[in-house]
Amino acid sequence: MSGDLLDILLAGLVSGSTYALIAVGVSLVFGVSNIVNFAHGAVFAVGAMIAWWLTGPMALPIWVAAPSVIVITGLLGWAIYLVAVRPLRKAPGIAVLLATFAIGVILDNLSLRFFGGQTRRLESAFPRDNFELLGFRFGTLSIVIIGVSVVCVAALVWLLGYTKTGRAIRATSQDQEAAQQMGIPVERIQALSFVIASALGGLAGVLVGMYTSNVSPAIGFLAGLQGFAAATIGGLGSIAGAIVGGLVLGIAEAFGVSLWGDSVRQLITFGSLLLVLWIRPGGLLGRVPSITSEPMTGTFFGAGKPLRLPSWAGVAAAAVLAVLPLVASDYFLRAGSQVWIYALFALSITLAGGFAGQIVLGQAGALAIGAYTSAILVTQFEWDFWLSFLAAGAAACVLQVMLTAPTWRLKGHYVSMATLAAGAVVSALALNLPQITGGSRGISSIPRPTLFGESLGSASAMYWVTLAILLVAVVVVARLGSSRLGRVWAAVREDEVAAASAGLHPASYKSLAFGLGAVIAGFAGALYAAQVTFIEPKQFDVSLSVLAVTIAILGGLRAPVGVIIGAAILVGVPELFRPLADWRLLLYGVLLLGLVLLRPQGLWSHVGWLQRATQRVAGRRGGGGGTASGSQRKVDSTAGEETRA
Amino acid sequence: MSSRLRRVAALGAVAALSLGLAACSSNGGAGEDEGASSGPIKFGVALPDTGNSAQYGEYFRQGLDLALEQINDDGGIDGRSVELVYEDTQADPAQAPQVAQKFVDDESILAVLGDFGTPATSAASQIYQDSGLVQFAFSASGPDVTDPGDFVFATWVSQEFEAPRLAEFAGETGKSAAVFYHDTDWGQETYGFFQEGEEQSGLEEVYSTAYDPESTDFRPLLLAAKAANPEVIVLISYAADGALITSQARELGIDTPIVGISSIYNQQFIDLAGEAAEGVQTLSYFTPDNEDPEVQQFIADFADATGEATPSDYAIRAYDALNAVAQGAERAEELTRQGLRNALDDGQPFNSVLYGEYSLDDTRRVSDAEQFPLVITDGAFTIQ
Repeated sequence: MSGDLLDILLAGLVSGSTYALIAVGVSLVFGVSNIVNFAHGAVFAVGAMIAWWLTGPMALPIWVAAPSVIVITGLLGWAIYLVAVRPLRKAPGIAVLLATFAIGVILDNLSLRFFGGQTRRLESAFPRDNFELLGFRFGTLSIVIIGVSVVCVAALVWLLGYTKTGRAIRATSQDQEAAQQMGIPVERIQALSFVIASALGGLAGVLVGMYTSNVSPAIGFLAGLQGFAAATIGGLGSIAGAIVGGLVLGIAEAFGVSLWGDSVRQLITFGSLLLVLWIRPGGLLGRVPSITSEPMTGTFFGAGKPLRLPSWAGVAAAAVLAVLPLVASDYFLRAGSQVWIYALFALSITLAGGFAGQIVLGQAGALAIGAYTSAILVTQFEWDFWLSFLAAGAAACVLQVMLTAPTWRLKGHYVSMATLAAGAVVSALALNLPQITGGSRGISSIPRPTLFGESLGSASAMYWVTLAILLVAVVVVARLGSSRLGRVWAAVREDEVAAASAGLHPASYKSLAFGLGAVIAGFAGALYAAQVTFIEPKQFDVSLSVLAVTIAILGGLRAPVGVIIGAAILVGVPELFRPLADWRLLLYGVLLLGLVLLRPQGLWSHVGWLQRATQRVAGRRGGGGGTASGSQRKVDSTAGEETRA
Repeated sequence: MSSRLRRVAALGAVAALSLGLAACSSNGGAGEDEGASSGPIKFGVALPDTGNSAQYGEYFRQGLDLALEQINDDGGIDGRSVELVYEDTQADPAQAPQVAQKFVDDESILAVLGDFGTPATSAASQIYQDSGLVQFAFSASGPDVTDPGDFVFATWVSQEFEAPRLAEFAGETGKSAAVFYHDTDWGQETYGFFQEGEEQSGLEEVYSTAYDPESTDFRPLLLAAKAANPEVIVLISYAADGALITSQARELGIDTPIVGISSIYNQQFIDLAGEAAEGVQTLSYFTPDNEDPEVQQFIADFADATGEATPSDYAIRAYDALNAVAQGAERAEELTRQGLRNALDDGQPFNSVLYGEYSLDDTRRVSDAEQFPLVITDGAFTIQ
């Protein structure tokens, strides 16, 4: 079945070198700033599209176009740093990660508006098929790609090892605060890393675009993920590792794809990513950074003090939401049930993230398991929906806990990445197990649920069912947060070492929070399948996981009620943008970026200026009256503690 | 005191939120246009404006906008002008039902055209059917597309007919085939019917593989195919990915003849594959060489409107779809959703560019139509 082994090895090396080129930029930024830059793929795609535009419609020669692309994407990198990274330098890694994701959405859609959605041909400046080695044909272009990667490594090794700037970069990557105290302009160094990385990303866009010859504004996201996987496999922060990771991934994919077909590509990419994180989390050439206080825990969650909703207000709000079907249109109600399902989905993030302090970036996997479990049981085995609903929660919990069990000893970004990989592996498995899941064709005509023999297919019934389940789940999760278990989670979250020395086993408690979260995500998946009535692997991609995290964070991670507001804004508002068609996703990106920048601590938490204003009013009215100012001072001091924590 | 204020603020936020949500509900619902016989006639269009399928949405708009302009220049339908209401679904089955519900709620919409591809189309069908609004699917070729009921129409000839014909056509070029097909609902379905055609026409299959249309590196698959020594390579592809497979095959030095399904009929295929496109064969319902004056007129109008010499298959299908629905509206006894449905299903013929004159069968589909064998020579699709 397979071609000549050497042919395939060479094909893998050549395509691996394209991954490597993308991975170098990802790794550089991570090494210097400890930031996972999700906008890198978009910069890559923008570079490819600008190269097409300059050489195609503008008819410029490539030796003008390529340097222009490098300059433009370099400036773009600087802009990304200024807009998405610098304002969040005090915020935790996850906020920056979300901001770069938002930038990626914005760039992709700006490029779509500017260049149009069509796939274009990027003429290669170098021949692609002028050499033959052992029967395999390749071209000067491949040699240029490999050459550029190697030159990059050499240049960076020289820069890092033998220059003053390099020393500054290394110092910054080891300990930002110490570097700052030594007089190193940390911000300038980080900005520089974004400029270099993005210029490299642009160059990668030109060369890889020439290699594949088809370019379109949509190529960035997947390329970014593959580059990210390659960088992690090689060892994040290690430039040579990025190249080794790219080549390893390219060869593994080439053999896998030629043996088992194209559908295993994702499985290989994310499967090997997950495997590396299990066995050798630092990657092939990297080391897990030894910094003990990693950016994901502690500081961030303290920043947002959840608002406490008085119970009467909660009941009133729930009542208002519950009577909406009496006045609202069906379209509004269908959108409403969609919002509640996403809110439930995001609630699962709140459990692991807000309570146990662990951001989960692959929760779409749990949603997928729930959706598939319910859909398969209902369509093939004619189960009652509600039984399948319970099974969906159980299956999501068991499978997800198994997939992530080995990762809980990791820290910071590495856990998030392992969960991201696990989520992507679930989606890839759904594609590769057609006997069970229908493969790429998915499962269609999923029946609407029934209750006591009555169909719940109508828009208002689905709205009520989803709202009721959401409200119950919110109350349960909120109770859990203030229970004894919730306090143990808080202990693990606030100080893992202290918790461990108090005899708690942090990994088990994190795993428990994650497992319970997966149950909720599984429930959400069952509802999702019933609402959408058609599921396929592509629906459960990384963007969906990121959306859930964003909803949870914007809602205020520690406030379960917040997911309702977060989902209403991030799922409901884009629905309002629908008449704007072309600009919709762009506005979604801007909304996302704006929210992350303005409210990184979440919406459902105290608003600084509002609080100051109310205090001023209260202070004036109280006129120094003992009790009023006393209680106010107390509020002040707790708020202060929270920000400092 | 501050805690009371906080409560008020929280309650205010909740109230503002629900008001905001309620406000947005009203813009879709109100249908004061209903029954008005003087205002414009509105049709909905569900299509991908963003996302990975955005380029097909652009093709649709080319054809729809041209047809709309022509209909209105000719005085509209019964003296009323026609309007199109576009909604972006990203061709995503998860979003299509939302859009369907929105069209259903807007009572001024008389029929909906779209979506792109069978998954997004089918995901919305039940809502259209249950609410009695015509879904005129012009870009969905699944064999069961119209099964949800009598409000669903489809104009793409089912792969049941097209795919076996492709197998026979490929068999004229070579006796053994390597088949590349989309790993999508459409690709799997088509490949199934293609295999039936292989048996009938005695074409031997020596290699077959499903692939993700968004993949960019097909070399490992092509090397595996090459090892099987096929006499012909068959592409069950769209233009963009088909062109990529073609150019990578030629780069690897594989010079086996290539035959593609009608979806590769698109100038884009030639633009993307460049030199490598030469000699690639396909079967198409449309050819610019067709001497029918209506077809020639369409090509000239299309070039005027878009500046593109060769309309894509998708633009033509969209153009024909709006014209078909407009012809139905002309014939309708009363211009309501039900009236329009009855008129479309009355068995009378429609005029089109793609199929010439055609009628719909009792499953509300185009049962079959003539295809022209084309080959790419000197950068253009020409009749063999």
